[in-house]
Amino acid sequence: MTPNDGQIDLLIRRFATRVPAPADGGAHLDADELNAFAEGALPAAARSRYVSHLVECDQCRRHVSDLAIASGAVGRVSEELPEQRKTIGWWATLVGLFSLPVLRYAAFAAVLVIIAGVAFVALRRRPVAPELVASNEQRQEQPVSAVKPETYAGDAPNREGTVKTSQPPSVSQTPLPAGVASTTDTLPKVDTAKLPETKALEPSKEIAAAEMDPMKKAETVVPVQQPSYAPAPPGQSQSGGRFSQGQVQGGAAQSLGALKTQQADKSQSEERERDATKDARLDDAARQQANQSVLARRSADEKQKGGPSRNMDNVAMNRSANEMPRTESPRKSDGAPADEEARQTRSAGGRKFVRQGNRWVDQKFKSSMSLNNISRGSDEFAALDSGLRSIAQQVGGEVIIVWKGKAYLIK
Amino acid sequence: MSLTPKQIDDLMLAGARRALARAGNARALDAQYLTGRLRAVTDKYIFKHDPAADAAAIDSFLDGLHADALCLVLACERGDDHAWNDLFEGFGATVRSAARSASSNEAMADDVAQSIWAELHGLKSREDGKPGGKLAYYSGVGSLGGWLRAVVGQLAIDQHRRQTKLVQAEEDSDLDRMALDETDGNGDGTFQQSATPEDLLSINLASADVEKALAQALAELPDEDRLLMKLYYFDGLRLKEAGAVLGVHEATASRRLTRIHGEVRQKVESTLMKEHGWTKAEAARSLSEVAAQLQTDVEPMLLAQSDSTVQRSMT
Repeated sequence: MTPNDGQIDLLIRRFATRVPAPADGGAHLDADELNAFAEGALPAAARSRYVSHLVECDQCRRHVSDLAIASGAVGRVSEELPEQRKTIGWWATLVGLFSLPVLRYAAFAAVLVIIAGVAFVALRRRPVAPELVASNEQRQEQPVSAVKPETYAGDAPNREGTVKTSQPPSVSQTPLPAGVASTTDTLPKVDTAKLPETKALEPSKEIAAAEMDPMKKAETVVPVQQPSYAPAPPGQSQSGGRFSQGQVQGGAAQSLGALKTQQADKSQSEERERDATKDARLDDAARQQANQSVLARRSADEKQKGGPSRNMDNVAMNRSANEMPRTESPRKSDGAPADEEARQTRSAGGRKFVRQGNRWVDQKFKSSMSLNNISRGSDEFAALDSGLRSIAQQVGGEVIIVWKGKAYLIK
Repeated sequence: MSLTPKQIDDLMLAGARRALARAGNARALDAQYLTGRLRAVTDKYIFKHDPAADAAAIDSFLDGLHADALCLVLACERGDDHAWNDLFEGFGATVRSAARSASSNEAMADDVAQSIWAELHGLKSREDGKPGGKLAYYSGVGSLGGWLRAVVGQLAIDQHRRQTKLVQAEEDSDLDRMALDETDGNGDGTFQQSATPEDLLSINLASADVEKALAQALAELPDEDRLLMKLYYFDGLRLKEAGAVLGVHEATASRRLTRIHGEVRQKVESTLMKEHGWTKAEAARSLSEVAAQLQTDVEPMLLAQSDSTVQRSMT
């Protein structure tokens, strides 16, 4: 109760004791009306009339009060109200959530959250950006670093730990982030020693190298990380100064291409040897690729002998860069462009698939295997292993998948 | 548009049939017999206050009647002994309890309880030869037990009046009023002892003005609010009891009372400002001063009231 309420309360109490009781109106409410009022059973119109009478008639009001108290209306009203209060409370709570005072604070909180989110994103991106740039530069310029100009050859030890080897020394010697240094520290010294010799990759080779998938990049890096695998011939390295710059560049490209092709052909030849026993078509492809590997080896041998065969190396490089994941068509060697696109390979779920007509065939598939024909969407398809279904969904169309020693033709 | 007599009769007949169907024990009453009572009850509680009541309101009212109690009462009026036995067995305890509550002593309670049954049965016969007891006034709107308590209460008051020739409530009220007037009139109040005659005069004038404005503000309140004020301030009921009379919870009554306080204060200040040309601050200050003086004045008054109450209870 507020002080103002207390003052009015006092005044009314005083007033109530001083005002004489009004004279009875004469017509009192009968017992039935009194009881009906006390029990709250009256229609609205009648109740309104009786309220007016009760205000003026002390006697009837006392009767009604006694009846209401005696009939247990006090407890009845107290019991009924909690449910009503609960409903009102729920509704009031719901309305209160969207009331203006609450929305005022909610808007303020929303602004704070937005500011915090923007700040978080901004602060989070800032340290990450140099790493991303460094890694991209490293990966993309790694091949380029192998074709440094000859004028920087004497600076090779100083350039260790730098990535942008194609840039002038003044730029490359600028301090770099720790992440960049750590990545470049892993580069072998042999690579930097070979840098002046392997600079002059042609633009097409650079583009091809940049477009290589990660596997090819890894293959490109692997021979660099194993410098003892294909060291440059002593005669070539010593006589490099006597050669023209184009010859030096060509020799570096040849040696790099030979390393790549040897590594790639080694794995491909193994696969193709397996494939050769599978299918007649695959036999043709394996044969063709075997020829290519022989060609690459021959070029490598010629390189080692000091007689660079630039044409052969270029062919090997191009194939290793662009066509390595693909299975060469037997007719590709014949130079038919339509046949080059007829055969394609793709990977799904860690498996390689060869396109044969309208059908993708798992390279593990053998002609001796019996095929289980399964339609997509059928119950049999639904009953397959999730891994098998996932591969089928990734490949799409008709596909032959070898799964757990069984071959499935999924249409 | 008000209903035609034929429509009303049809509504009564249909209502009587529904009441008989609703009653657990119809006591072999027919709808036609019940229709007459229903028509009288409807006239009393519906058409008297709302002559244009529609059929839905009438149906709702008739369906809210206590059908079982009404059939029992009608059967008693018809002279059904089984019904009388049921009435006595079912409500004898209620009558005795009500008599004890309404009477000041046990002997008077027994007297009231004995005479109530005679009143219910009717010592005099009506024009149709049937006993003209008080049961004829039961409508079925409220419960039969509550109606019996009300009848017992009225009977107890009548007997008390006949015995003492005095109304105790009025006597108490007069005694209290006399005591209060004596306190105010002889100048024994606390603040009056310390106040100068000039202050006393101004305070009395201000108090009279405030009291007049207060009476006007209370008179302008709606009847529901006035009834709450009467029950709480004039009859001395607790908020819980006052709320029960009005059919609302104590918390609701409290909120309503707080609202009334604000309205009354606003009206009193407005009246004081209008009649005396005071500013709002002056009106508020006058109210505060009068209330503060009342605070010191009310305490001995309340003490005197409590003393007189204790003395009455001891006697």
